Amino acid sequence: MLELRDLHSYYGRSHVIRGISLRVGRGEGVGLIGHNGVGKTTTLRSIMGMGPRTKGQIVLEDRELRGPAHARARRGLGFVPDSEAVFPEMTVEENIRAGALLKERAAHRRCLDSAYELFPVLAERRAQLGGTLSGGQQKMLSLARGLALEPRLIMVDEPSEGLMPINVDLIGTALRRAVEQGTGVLVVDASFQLLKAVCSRVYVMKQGRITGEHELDDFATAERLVETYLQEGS
Amino acid sequence: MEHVVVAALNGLVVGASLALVAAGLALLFGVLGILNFAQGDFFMLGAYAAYFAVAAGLSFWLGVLAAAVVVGVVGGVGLMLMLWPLRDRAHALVLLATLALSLIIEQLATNRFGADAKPMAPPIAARLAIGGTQYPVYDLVVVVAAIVILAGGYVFLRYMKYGVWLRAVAQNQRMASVLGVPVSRVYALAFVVSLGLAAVAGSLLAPLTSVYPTVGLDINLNAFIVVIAGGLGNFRGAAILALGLGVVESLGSIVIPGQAVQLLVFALVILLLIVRSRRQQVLVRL
Repeated sequence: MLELRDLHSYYGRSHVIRGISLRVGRGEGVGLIGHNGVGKTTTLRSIMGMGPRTKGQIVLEDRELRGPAHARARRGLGFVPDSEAVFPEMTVEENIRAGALLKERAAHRRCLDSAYELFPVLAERRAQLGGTLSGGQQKMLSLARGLALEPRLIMVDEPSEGLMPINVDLIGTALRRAVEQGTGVLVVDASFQLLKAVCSRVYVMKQGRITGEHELDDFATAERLVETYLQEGS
Repeated sequence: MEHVVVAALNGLVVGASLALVAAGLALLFGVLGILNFAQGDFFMLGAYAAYFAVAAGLSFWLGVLAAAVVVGVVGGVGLMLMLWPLRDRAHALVLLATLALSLIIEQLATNRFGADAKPMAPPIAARLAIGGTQYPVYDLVVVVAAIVILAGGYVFLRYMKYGVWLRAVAQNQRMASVLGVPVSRVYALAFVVSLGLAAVAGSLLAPLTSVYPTVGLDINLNAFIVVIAGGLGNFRGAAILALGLGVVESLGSIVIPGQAVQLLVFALVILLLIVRSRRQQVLVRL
């Protein structure tokens, strides 16, 4: 479904991503892990076409992805950034509608219903401004909106960061459900609880390169996973 | 009492046209962060478009429509093409570019149409008796038309697809793009609507002000004051404040003679800015 072939990314003269290759299949959850600053977020942004200059191939469903972010989104690629992912002066309902309006009219209600079903707290707060939600609720809103658009593949950056375990469970369940429905999921996160819920494989990154690929079932505990990526990623 | 009612109505006429220009300025700033110094010149071009449409035998209202479409679309797309190469450059360059454009349009209009004021008869000659004063019905039509257009703009921004997207892009352009919102099309729309509003205001006011190359200068200055006081990028705030200031200025002129009434207006604006600066305020609220 999604395949990166020797992807390089540059911020000015800085060579941030140094030739990574990875793949995510249909209905597969894949994690991207590593220390802070190794290029995980830059990888997601590069795939989405958000800023860094890139070299190499990004292929979604056998066709190369090119152009600005909105063109890639229309090819079925979703992205939930780690911060500033809501429209602060629009209500929860308007935030979801802003995405739903890209679909045909008949699908608008379905998008709203699916987002509210995923996180019922959003239905309770549908008239509240996005910028006044708590951090956790903002994450739920951006994820619910991203999933409601039914992308072929969705990339999620640090969805569990700063959340209480109960909310991590909710987000993990939502992503798991997307995987079961055939959506490809590429998630950057440090939570073993979330990775275990969503992913079958993880890639380990170090200094802009992929240094390892593992089946998540190989790791019985978070400690074992951390041990591996400390070895490969430091 | 009759004087007060007439003054309030006059204020609403001035405020309504100011609101159209200011709302357009606020829209453009909200979506693109651009302060367009040439907004008053598009007001002037709207007035000329209506004047020449009527001179060519078209109805006045078709002239207003032609002004909105021609100035909005041609001017909007032209301005966008002119400013596009500067989008990632310093704001000062964009300001200078629109200032230069303003001077160029004004000079071209003077060369082409002459510097003299061209009078234009209002399309509705009827008058309404307010006490002993015969008040022109057309002035009231201008107020109603402006309020209907602004209310339509509010509904558009709140409920229509591209309106919601205009607000989305204004608040978080990166996220709008990630969702698939066609950002460059939204930018083009912001230019077209912004200039179209200025042109409609110019054409509606042409029978009241006459048409001449610098007719947009005063309204441009006042529109900037309104947009800054109403909160840069705040479409609703600019529209409401413009109407309010128009009425205050007109009512104030009953007791404060001549240009001194401007002092009252500026004092109110300064007071408003002081109050607003003490509250945490978002920059963009389309």
